[in-house]
Amino acid sequence: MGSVRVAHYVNQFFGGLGGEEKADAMPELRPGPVGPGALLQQLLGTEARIVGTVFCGDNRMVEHEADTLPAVVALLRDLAPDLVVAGPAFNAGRYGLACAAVCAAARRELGVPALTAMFSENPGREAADRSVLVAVAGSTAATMKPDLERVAHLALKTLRGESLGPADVEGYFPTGRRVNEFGTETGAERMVQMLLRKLRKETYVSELIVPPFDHVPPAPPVSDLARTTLGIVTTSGVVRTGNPEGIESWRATKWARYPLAGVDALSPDAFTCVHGGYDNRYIRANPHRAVPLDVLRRYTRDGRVGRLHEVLYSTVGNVMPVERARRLGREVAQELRDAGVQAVLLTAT
Amino acid sequence: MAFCSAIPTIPFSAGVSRVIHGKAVPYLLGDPTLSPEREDTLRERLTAKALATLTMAVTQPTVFTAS
Repeated sequence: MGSVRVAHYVNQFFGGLGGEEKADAMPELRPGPVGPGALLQQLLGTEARIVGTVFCGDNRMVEHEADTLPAVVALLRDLAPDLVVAGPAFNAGRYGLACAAVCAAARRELGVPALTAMFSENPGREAADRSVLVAVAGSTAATMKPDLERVAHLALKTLRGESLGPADVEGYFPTGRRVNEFGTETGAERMVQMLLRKLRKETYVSELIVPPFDHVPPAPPVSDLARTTLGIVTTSGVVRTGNPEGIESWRATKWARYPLAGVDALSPDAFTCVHGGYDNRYIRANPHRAVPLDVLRRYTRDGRVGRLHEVLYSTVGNVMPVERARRLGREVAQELRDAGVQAVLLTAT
Repeated sequence: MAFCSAIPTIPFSAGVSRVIHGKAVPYLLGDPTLSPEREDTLRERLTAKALATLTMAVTQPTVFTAS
């Protein structure tokens, strides 16, 4: 057996403890491989050794993460691992979220690489920190063997310090990292070949990756605006004069929260616009051209809108990477939800 | 969420459910060539339309235009 140490995290089911009735199980450590770990050990061969398996109930982890995650990390730390593997979680949502959290914590707290595996639609994939490698897995344990082969392959490469090839070749989900490589043909030649293949209706692979968008199920309508708390969000770049939060005029990394209580109108003295993607002089002259607070105040006064959430959330949408927009959007949405906001008016440009 | 944009194809292709066509990129909810009174009427019309879409059921990304 090699001296390289692997710690494995699984849930209560794959740890052999039980199903949903054991989903509250506290974190526990067993020496050596457990459950799918046996096959993983076989695939890792003599180069790496699963020194222990930590398992925990899915509900315990997801519902009490603040207490449970540190306990899991402490057990993993005792194993002094060189690599932490979690899962595969397949399409089990809570398990996927747990694997993502455990791997991110292992990276952060133990400073070791971490690897998990799950199905493409598992919510844990979205939640996984970019520093965590996520191997492609099937939706159910029916694909356990090929999924673990992929995990073992990526684990060994990681442990050897070998650089990984492209995601689709190595079997992991794209991490967003781009690696330069030299080709034998120029871009113009490759482009013409691609075009010829397209004209011949042959398959070709574009070198330009279009970021995937979400398919968001529409929210149900509000039944009565007069009883609705409305939130206002803008990506138009309207900010407080002086831009104290330092929101960037393009590729913004943050959003700001401006209290609106007592603010009847957005005066050009108190508010300005820092969006760098359009001629913003008309918005600077009258910020209502981007954020219609004047109209909304009128509507709450005459009762057409129940009430306004007294905060304006603002950022600059100019050339913001989709991944970052998703994060900022999630943060703002959480605040709105916590504040009991039932509907939102978002003004972009 | 009602999403006002001067370029509705962007939110539409990103999967936004309720998109309202604003006036123009540099003045989404206004028009500096109009008198203040007429500009106010324009802004109110666009805002009212956006709010109205919040009460409408949609099943897929939909672009609304103020009459």
